Amino acid sequence: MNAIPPNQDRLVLLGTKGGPAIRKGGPSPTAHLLEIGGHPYVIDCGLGVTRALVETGTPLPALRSIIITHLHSDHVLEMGPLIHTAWTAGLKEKIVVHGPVGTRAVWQGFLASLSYDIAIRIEDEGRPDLAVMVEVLEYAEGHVFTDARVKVSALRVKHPPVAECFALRFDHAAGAVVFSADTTYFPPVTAFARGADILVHEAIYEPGVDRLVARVGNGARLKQHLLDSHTLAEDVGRIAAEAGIGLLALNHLVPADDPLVTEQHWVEAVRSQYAGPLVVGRDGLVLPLSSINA
Amino acid sequence: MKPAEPFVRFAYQRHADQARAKPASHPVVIIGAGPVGLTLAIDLKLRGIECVLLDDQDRIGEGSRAICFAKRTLEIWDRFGCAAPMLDKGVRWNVGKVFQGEDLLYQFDLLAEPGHKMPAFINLQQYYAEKFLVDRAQALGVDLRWLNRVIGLQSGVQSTRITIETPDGSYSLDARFVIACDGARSPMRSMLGLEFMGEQFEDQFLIADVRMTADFPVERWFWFDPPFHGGQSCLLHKQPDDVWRIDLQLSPDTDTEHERQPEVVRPRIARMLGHGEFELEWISVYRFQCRRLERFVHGAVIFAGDAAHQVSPFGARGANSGVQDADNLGWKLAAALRGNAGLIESYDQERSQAADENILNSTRATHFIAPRHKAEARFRNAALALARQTEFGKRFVNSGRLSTPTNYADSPLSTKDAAPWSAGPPPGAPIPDAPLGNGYLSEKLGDGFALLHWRASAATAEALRVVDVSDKDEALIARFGLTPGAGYLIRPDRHVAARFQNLRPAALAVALNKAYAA
Repeated sequence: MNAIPPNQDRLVLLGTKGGPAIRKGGPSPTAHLLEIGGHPYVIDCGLGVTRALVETGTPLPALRSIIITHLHSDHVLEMGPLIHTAWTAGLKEKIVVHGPVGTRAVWQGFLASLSYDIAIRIEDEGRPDLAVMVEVLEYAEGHVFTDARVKVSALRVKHPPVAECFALRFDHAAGAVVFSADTTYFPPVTAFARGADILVHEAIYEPGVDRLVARVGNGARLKQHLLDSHTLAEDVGRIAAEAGIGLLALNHLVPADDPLVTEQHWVEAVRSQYAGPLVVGRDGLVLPLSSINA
Repeated sequence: MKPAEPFVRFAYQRHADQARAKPASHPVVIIGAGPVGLTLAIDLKLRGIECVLLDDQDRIGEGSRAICFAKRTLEIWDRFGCAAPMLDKGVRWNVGKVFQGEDLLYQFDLLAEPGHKMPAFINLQQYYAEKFLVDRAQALGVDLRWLNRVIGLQSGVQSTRITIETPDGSYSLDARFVIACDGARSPMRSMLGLEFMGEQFEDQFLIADVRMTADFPVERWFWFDPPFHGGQSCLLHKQPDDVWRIDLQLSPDTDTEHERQPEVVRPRIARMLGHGEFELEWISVYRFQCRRLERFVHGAVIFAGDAAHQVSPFGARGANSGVQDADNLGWKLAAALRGNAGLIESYDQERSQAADENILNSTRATHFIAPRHKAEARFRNAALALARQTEFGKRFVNSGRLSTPTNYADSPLSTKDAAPWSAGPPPGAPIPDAPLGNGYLSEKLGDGFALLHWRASAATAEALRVVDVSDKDEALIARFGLTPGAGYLIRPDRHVAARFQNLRPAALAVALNKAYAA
């Protein structure tokens, strides 16, 4: 599965757990690399995105495009550090960040917090001004951008209390990849993902959630939040079955590090509704975008 | 046949925007310098709005595209100061003849009504029309950038960014509005992933432009089943420079490559003309489409002309409707840039209605000219037989109903009549031209809202241009159904917003508010 030749278009799941916490040996919060025509698109920047991206073989100065689905920290915490590290690694060309309204403030805040370091490096190492190297474009539902390789569109999903949260669809010459972002069961995702080669959908596993809330306390309220704002694995299966997709990849798993919740549990929950190709996300999983050279 | 060579070539010039560290910001970027994009750019420039007009070519191409420009289009161009060279160069025609076999079925005369500044139609090669529009745009200082090809589009909340490729590499521009006038194969449409809905016709048509100094009358001739082209149809139009446009219907299973060879085309046309003394200027084979985008407005990206809708050529509804798109959009864009964005939605409504009307008419004509099945062919032949014998039967013959501007009957910008009128254009309708004083009404309305009134006190606080009708302007009074004290509120694109038999400032203000602040 991982023996993908270089230059093959691919999707890499960089971080697959839901929520910001991390534990020893466990997976990282949400981030993805979509590489098309040698161009890396980073979708979401949870903690650990920089290291994970480097491990895919992507040189950091090649970073050009970042797309953020919403501003929860498990999707955006390491956006500034990723860009900053790419900059200190020798970034020469601009990075464009596409994010919902508020993304510009996140970036400006990061620049302000690191202003001492950034000023020194500009002065001392002769680096270009980081503020000029990065442009944030805030998008809304509908078309996001089109370049020579992809057309990206956004669907506002249901992730209360976050209003600005968007599923993303990347159409490219050989197919389409869709990311659900964080959402409760939201049937419009079905039409939005119609015919995609890969649907990356978030998922929660209810028996695991019950154990999780028992463990952390504040149980009922946390469980209600999870159910109101995320999608049960069974419902992910319904979306996948109706959307007619090539492959379903589960990510943003909750719980992600409960040893009693195994891959088999996720598969069984989804299989109650969906019989097609399925993979349960794990950090570093590489999915080729076409099977021509696979 | 001469090799295709550019009619005019323009120089690519590097623009200062290409060297900026941050993308330059412009209120409007128009993509595509065809008749639609050029018309819109000129309109905006005359309204004091700076826009950038991009084109991926550096030339106006030869070749057979639009040739019939209708009165409404000429009126629009006249307002923008570029109709004169079109009229000088163009060929005027009024008479159309319809034949079946050897026999004349009937003829029509377009000039039914005198007192219009512009003729009903002129025939003019599209490359001349574009040349005159470019001349006007350049004289006005429109920022026209050749060899600027859009390769990327980013939709932001505050602005839209486009990435442009040039011979000097790529650069970006930010725009409040991006207007896609980039033609039937619109790259902008693909960038947004939008698809046309509609019909593609199976029949193929051969289009040939021939040069000859024959002594043919300057008329539109249409043949059903001509003796020189058995079973099919044929259309003949005169263009400037002794060029004649010939459209020949081919059957769906025709070998296109074979049919377009000059040695095949030549004898066919020689049979039609009765002689071989002509030169072939241009030959192409088309399949027609009648289709449109579901919506013309996609956030800050707005589609106009062939990029938004396509029709078959019977009725001259392609370029003419595109120019009317531009006319509908110009003043609304100007209003949106002043903070009144609500009017843009009415562009989608009004021009969608126009597109549907044009598609309906051109689809019907195409089905009549090229019946799809036996039942349609039987009906067509019955209609032709009826037309041969009776006056009323002639109305059933459809060789293309010629382009007229659309009446926006359900426009949200219109105020309904309070009482019945005996005559005149109703709310939403295009106004007809009429003699006024020593000139024409079309020359006196300016570029904003105007109030046309007869013996009414037009006291109004609004910055309206007021056009007085005198008792001597009898043709105008009759044409508009004016009675003493009556008035018309006319939109910048010369459609009726409202009309009043007893003009009162309060009602006028309400109507103006509806038409402008919608």
